[in-house]
Amino acid sequence: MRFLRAFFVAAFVAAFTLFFADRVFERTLPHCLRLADNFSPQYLLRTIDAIDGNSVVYLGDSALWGYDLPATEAAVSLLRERGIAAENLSYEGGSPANTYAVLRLLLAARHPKAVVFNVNLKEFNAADSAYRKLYPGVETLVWPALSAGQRALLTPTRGPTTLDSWIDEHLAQVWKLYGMRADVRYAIFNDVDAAHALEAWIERRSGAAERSAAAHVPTPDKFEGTYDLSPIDRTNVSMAFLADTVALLREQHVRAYAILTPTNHRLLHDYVDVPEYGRNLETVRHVLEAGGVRVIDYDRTFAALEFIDNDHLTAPGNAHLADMLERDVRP
Amino acid sequence: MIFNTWTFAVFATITVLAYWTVVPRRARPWYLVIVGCIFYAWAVPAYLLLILALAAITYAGGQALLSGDLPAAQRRAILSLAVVAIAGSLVTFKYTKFLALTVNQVAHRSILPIPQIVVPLAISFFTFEFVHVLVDIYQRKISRLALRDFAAFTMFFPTLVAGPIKRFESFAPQLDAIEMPSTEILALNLYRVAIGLVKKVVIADSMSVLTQPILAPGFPYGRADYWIAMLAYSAKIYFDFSGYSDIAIGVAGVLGLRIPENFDRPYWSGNIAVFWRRWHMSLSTWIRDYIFIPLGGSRGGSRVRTAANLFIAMAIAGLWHGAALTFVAWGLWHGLGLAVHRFWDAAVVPHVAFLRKPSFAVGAVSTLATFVFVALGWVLFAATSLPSAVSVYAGMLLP
Repeated sequence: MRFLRAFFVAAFVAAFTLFFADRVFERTLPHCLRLADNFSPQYLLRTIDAIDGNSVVYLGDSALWGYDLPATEAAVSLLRERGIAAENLSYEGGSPANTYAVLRLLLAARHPKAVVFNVNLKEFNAADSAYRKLYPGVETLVWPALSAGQRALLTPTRGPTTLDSWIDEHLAQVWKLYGMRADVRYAIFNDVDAAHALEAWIERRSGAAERSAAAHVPTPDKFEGTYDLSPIDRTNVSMAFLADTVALLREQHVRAYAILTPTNHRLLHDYVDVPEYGRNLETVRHVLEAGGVRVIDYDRTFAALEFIDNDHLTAPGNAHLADMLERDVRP
Repeated sequence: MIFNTWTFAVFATITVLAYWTVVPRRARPWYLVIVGCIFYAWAVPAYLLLILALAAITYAGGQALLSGDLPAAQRRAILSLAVVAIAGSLVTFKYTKFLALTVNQVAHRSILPIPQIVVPLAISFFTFEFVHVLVDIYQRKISRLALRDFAAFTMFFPTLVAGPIKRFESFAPQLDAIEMPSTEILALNLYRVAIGLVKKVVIADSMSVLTQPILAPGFPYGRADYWIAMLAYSAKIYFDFSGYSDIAIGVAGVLGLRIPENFDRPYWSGNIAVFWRRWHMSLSTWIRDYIFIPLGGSRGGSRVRTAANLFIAMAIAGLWHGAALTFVAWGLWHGLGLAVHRFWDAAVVPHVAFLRKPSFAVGAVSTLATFVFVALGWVLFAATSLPSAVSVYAGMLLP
């Protein structure tokens, strides 16, 4: 009995301490400028809950997220800096399926002033890693809400449920600090964790980062096969989800803008400066406009020097993008 | 089952609660056997049969050695047969692939087929414990081998995965009188589990990111990257293994049982011999007792013979850690260090006045030199191949 009493006293004290700490944590965790590299479903829901009706919400992939740049230099962050109510819910590994999934979550909880999302033709290629896959945290939240037909188009990323994964998932739902640990690390270290931040610092100091960057200057051959130029139709998974996105926006009467993603035509000349690419872009534009989405065509707007690679913009490129968005997105 | 999982947290909590509240005192050792079987069978249930079979061989061999006054030759034969059976399974499961690869490499052609064997969890640990039991019975250090005690010793789940390697004569007597520790002792043991988890999950796992240059040397890493990676690996391996040991010792303590300590601030050692008295102590004492001393140890006074024994013992210790030439090289590196240290202690120190007197400066330099020696050895331990290790050393030392 002595053991049981000690156990329950200890368990009660631990649970109370954790509960109290969790409430404090939930109230004090800042809202980051963008989602972390490996954001949690809990953090995404928290961010969505904080969005008010005057915000413009940006959805999409790494091009809007601000790939390879500090969060402060991403275009949406620059808009916020200028006093524009903008929320960045894009993330690395985005795709039309992911945009649709996050939009479902967003519109289930909030009605923003407008939604802006980017459409990237490379993600209509079945070889793209996000073509049939949702980001794991998003998948966890949205899967039950998807129709059978939508689920059939996707490949679940979750493995079989083990005792460990079951406990992990349920604990994350009730224990916020545990559930959002990846987001906390990102908020503190601006990286996946302290070790990755330290590694990046060491590599910058030792010159390894510079050597690596010099050796990885993007060349056209690295992007061979990135774009599938066969005609896009409704059998294409990304097209199906794009159509679902448009339908959902129309159904919910949400003002929407679709950005045709800035593309480095000089680098990708051999693959995208062909009639097939133009035709696919027109197909996408037609679906968007027919659904009442305003299309903002940035496909050829940016100069080669403003790109890091095929479709990711440099810091000046993001500043330019922020200027363009400030001009073109006026809900 | 791995310690740093929720599955283990649930398993350990239920096990401990039932152990102190539901299970009758006399049944606790058998309860440990049952939960040990569940723990071991969690990942690959089939391998439970292997550990049980080897335990049966050890138990039968031990009982045979204990039964009456057998002639010395018969006792030797029983010991040899049992040890060969146990060591044979270790070699079969862990080293067959390595042997086949080595033979094919030496012959420059494919002579032997490469077997695809999944190494049973913790086979290196329990085989060493079985050999210890047999040898100690043979040497009459163990005079009684009760089935209950041996079964609990074998299937004691806190030490099943990664040790510490227990000694039967200090473990078994505790089973007769398992008393609930005081609340303070329970709290201290839980604290030790928590410290172990922090060491493993927060420190050791984080270091993995920084160790890439020694795992995959070459472009774009420079000299600083290799040195930092070596230091990070030194930290990783210590915090990983000592964290695991802390969890094992803490969980055992919560169950009211003491098991051997495994680490005692090893990186603060003033020489390599002291390092090996503080690093993975349960293994180093096993190697000393069952390999180095039977080989002749340092008896006889011949420095060459002692050095040879050290090299053999440490090469085996290296091979025990993993089936690859890099581990053998790591063992030989430490054998070299121990041999040089013996020579230094016997032939140099007595003739140099400032070395004979303990001083802060000599202590600091010795500790630093020992750490650098050990850390350089970790490159061999971590490298995927010997040429890869050479690349790391070249990257560290050459301009």
